[in-house]
Amino acid sequence: MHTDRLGEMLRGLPVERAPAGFAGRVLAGLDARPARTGRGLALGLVLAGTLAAAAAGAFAWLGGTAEDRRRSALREAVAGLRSEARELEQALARPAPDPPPLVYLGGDERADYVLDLRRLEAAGGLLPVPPATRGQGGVL
Amino acid sequence: MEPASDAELMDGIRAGDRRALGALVERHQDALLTYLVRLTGQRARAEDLTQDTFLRVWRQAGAGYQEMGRLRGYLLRVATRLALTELRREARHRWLARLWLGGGNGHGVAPPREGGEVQRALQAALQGLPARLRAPLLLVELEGLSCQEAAAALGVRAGTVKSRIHRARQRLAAELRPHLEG
Repeated sequence: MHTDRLGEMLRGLPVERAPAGFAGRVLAGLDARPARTGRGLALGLVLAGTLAAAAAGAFAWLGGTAEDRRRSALREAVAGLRSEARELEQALARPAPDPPPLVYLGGDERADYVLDLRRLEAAGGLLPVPPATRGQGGVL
Repeated sequence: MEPASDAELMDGIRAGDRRALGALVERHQDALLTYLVRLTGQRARAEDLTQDTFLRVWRQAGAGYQEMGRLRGYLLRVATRLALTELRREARHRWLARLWLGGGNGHGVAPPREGGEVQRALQAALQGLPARLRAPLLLVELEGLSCQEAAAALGVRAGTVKSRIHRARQRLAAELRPHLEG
């Protein structure tokens, strides 16, 4: 019967013996970082080299297009900055409007008390004074 | 004084006793190395994997040992998973190397040079099997694990283990027909 013969053959495979000092080697490995096998490392290096070479080739091939895109983006950014600078120059050149006739009376972190002289004029003098409004930037 | 049992050594490992690990290695190193040479077909790699298996046992402090029931099954599970990960990684690298460089050889395992003709043929046929068929065959037929234990080691169902062993045997029988009939 093939099955039995195959089983016999399998059981006849040689038994391996660990080299002398193997247990010491394992114990020495306790304090070392886990390392990959030499063959795995070699294959990893070959693969990494291949990928790096391919990436370099792809970069060289696509480089012109990427450089063009970068220059175009820079041109747009510079044009935008120039436009903003022109708007700021024009705004600075315009005469400033007259400040409103306000007198700051005081305040705290919750409210500022301001006297609007235009409303005082409209009221015909200092009396009667409108009640103070509370709140941020409140106006008398 | 009687030698410590496997369970006592595992207790020592959990407690961080390096001497317990040393004793465990001495006790199981040959069996584990033999299994890994048969699984990978490479002595040097098998030695590395044997060392990695014991280091993994130490670093995991034996986690998973209780559920396997006995230490031998637990060690074989750790070793099998490490080896299969390594073999899959190597297969991936070989495939990529073939794809990118147009090179690469078949299995990446040197043909056996020791033993008689029949043994060399058997070793070559064994290494010609895919690892997913070779591992369950070795675990059950040679290492004496039950199909349930092998299934736990491989992370598959017991039925899958049985069918893989059947297919592995069929392929080996076909490869070794002249030696089996002679």
